Amino acid sequence: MKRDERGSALIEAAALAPLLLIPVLYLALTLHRAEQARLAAAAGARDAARAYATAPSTDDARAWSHAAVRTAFADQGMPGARLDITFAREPGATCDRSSVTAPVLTPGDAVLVCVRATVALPFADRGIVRGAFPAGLPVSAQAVAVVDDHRGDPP
Amino acid sequence: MVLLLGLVVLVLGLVLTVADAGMVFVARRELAATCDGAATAAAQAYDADAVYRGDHHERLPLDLAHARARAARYVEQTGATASVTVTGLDATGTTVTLACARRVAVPFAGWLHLAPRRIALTARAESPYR
Repeated sequence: MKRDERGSALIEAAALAPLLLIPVLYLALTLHRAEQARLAAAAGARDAARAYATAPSTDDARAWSHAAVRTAFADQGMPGARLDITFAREPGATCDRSSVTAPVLTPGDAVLVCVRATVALPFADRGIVRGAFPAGLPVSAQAVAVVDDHRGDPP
Repeated sequence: MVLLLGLVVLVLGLVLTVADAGMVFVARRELAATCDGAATAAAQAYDADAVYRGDHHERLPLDLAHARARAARYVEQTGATASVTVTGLDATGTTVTLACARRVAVPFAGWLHLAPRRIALTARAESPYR
């Protein structure tokens, strides 16, 4: 290195470091958020399915299930996630909307709960950029719970 | 410059490793959900003959074959790719134990041709019938 180039590497590094490291850091935060969302969707679907299968009536079942999914997302720090929760009656049901049949809590039946959610990208839902990035991270999960054989008849 | 690029590669490698570990953790939670559901379904497989024989005392025992059928049906209903096996009942016959396992393909480690990880866990559920 020539005498008049002394210190230029430091300046170069100081200028380039943010350019290289900030995208990597944002990638890390995005991956973290995606996994949090997947975890919330899986936990929410599981709790919602069990809540649905043990509820005294289908109205309660829907309310309990929605509460379970909202709680799962709030627990992961994503209370503002856009949620779409559907219920179907097994067997043969899938999370495809065209095949959805409402479950009726008949003993021995299986209830399928499908959770689809969209969570905002890191920092995209706050400050001056709020609403500037409508796209989010889509996640989905499903769970099945069996209605107890000897439950009481729904009212 | 070279040091900086080395640092970026190192940080990227760490991020991707942690992401892979996160995927394994999420897969483990999903397997736990499937295993718990199968255990709950199997725990309702009470031994109907014991009811008519009247030889149970406090809790109604489970029927192992029936429990296995229920767990298998549950896994079929969920469409899960997990392997779920009812390993047995406890001494009183009222608690069923299941062993569950599945393989997890981790995307970034997959680039390095590392084999998918196998995760396994057990679940227990007690008969609700008395």
